Amino acid sequence: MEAKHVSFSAIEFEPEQLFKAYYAKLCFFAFQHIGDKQVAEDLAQDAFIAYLRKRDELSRDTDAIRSFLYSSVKNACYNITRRQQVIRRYFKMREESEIEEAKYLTSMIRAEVLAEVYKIIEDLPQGCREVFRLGYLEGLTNQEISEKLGVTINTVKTQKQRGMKVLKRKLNPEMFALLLYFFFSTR
Amino acid sequence: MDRESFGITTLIVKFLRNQTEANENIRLKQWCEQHALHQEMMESFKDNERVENDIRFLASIDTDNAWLNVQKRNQRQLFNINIRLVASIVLVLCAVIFAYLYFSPFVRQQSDTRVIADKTKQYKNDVLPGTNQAKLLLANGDVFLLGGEKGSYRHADLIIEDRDGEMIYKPTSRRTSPLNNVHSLTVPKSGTYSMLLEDGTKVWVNSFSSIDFPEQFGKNERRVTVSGEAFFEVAKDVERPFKVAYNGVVITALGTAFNINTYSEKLIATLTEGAIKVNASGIEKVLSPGQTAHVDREEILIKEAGTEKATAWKNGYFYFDGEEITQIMEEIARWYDLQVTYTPGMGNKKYRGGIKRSATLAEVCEMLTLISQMKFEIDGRNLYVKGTD
Repeated sequence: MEAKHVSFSAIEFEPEQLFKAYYAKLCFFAFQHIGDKQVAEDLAQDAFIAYLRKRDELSRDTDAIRSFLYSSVKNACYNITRRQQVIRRYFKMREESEIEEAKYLTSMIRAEVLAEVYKIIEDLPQGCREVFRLGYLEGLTNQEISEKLGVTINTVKTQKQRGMKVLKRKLNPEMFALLLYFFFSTR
Repeated sequence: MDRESFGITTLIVKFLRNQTEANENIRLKQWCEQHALHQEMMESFKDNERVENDIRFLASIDTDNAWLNVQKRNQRQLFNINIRLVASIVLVLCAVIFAYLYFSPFVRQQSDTRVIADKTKQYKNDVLPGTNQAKLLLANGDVFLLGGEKGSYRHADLIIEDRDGEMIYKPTSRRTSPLNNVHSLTVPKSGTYSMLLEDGTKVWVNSFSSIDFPEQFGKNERRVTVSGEAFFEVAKDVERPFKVAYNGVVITALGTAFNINTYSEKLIATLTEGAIKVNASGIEKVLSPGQTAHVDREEILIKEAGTEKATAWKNGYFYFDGEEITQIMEEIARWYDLQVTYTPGMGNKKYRGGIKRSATLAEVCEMLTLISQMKFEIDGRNLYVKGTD
């Protein structure tokens, strides 16, 4: 699709939709830097509240909003980690080294990508999805899944295969390999 | 974190979905080679245990609860309606039934050249967007089809110039003409046209709309009738107020810019510059720039609202200001001349955004699918919208 005809960036979600699309990702992003889930959630919520307050001043561009949210969380993380630094005189607030910046970038990418993977799994057909979730989220064996759902082990296997077919079709083969392992493992 | 970073993120997600093109893959490769950390990160996705843990983290986040928390913490109103005073006025007159009856004589051409193959192969076919097309029906019964080629028509005491989507109407002599000598410019679905009137007023007319104007404007006033949607940039003439009438409602302006939309049951007039008076059922209200009048049954409601929606269409794009899919589809259906069918479960989520009017239907559907997760099917000029329920 030619970008010049359609302006993706002008599409904006209502606050609730925006929140639901970004919250988990932002929490994960923060978590990678500060390691505390509760604090990560607080930071993500703070960033969103800041966005809501500034909503009218900010551009409606989805990219700009995303940039604002991630930057807010990043700065908050940075403040926290910096406070933990003993040798202050070598580090000024907000002055980041190249490696620091790259780390934030990669963690953002990681958040976006994994959220995408998670979404693809969540979008699987009903039957497959349940099997997948029980399998990888709760780590149940095929036997346990079949008991929990009240279906035969064969059904469980079939559903896994169905799901795999869908994922294979939707995902890049290189990335697909990464999911292959833990979905097919016979735990 | 700059635009470049987000560009790469989007690229990687595309790569994940196996939707990248050759040049994008190259760009991605270059990025990986830029920094050791980058390559490391791409490799890290192959670490299954780590990925598993991360996804588990994502799944464990209680977003709904968090949203309630955010709402609680954010004391102030979450939705601030932005009052931007932009220099155009939008008047909206509603007359779906009226317009429908008015336009039923329009006959579609035998072969529909605007229905084409879908390049993305996601839909049965694609539909090209609207074009500059209109029909000018003179008081004496002569008909001109506008929009095909540039042309200049000399007709009795009249010169009509047609070029690039704009028609210039020039009477060549001044004479007293009977009040009922009225010309009519009608724009079909999938059409749009603009016109320069004798006094210098410019009118943009949207799809499925029409404007009736007199052979010559009167001595005391300049009066036209509209149905559908039209945007006016009125030339200043202190001696003769410019009046737009629809179904008993009259909008009066001196030198000003405004949009009128009559597609739904309400007449909506949006003022962007100058001042206008709205007259309905004996009630009169004056608008200032940035205000919108909603005329409904016998009430005139004034609202402060953004004017972007009113001017967007004449500037070549759609703008949806917090609208449900069904509302959005109404405009799309008019521009692409479609029959839209909905399956139940549309929900009532609202969307805000813009799309260029030059996009093809497939492009529009793809974009709408992305933001709304609804499914669209195109079959000729039929569009089926399937909800998420």
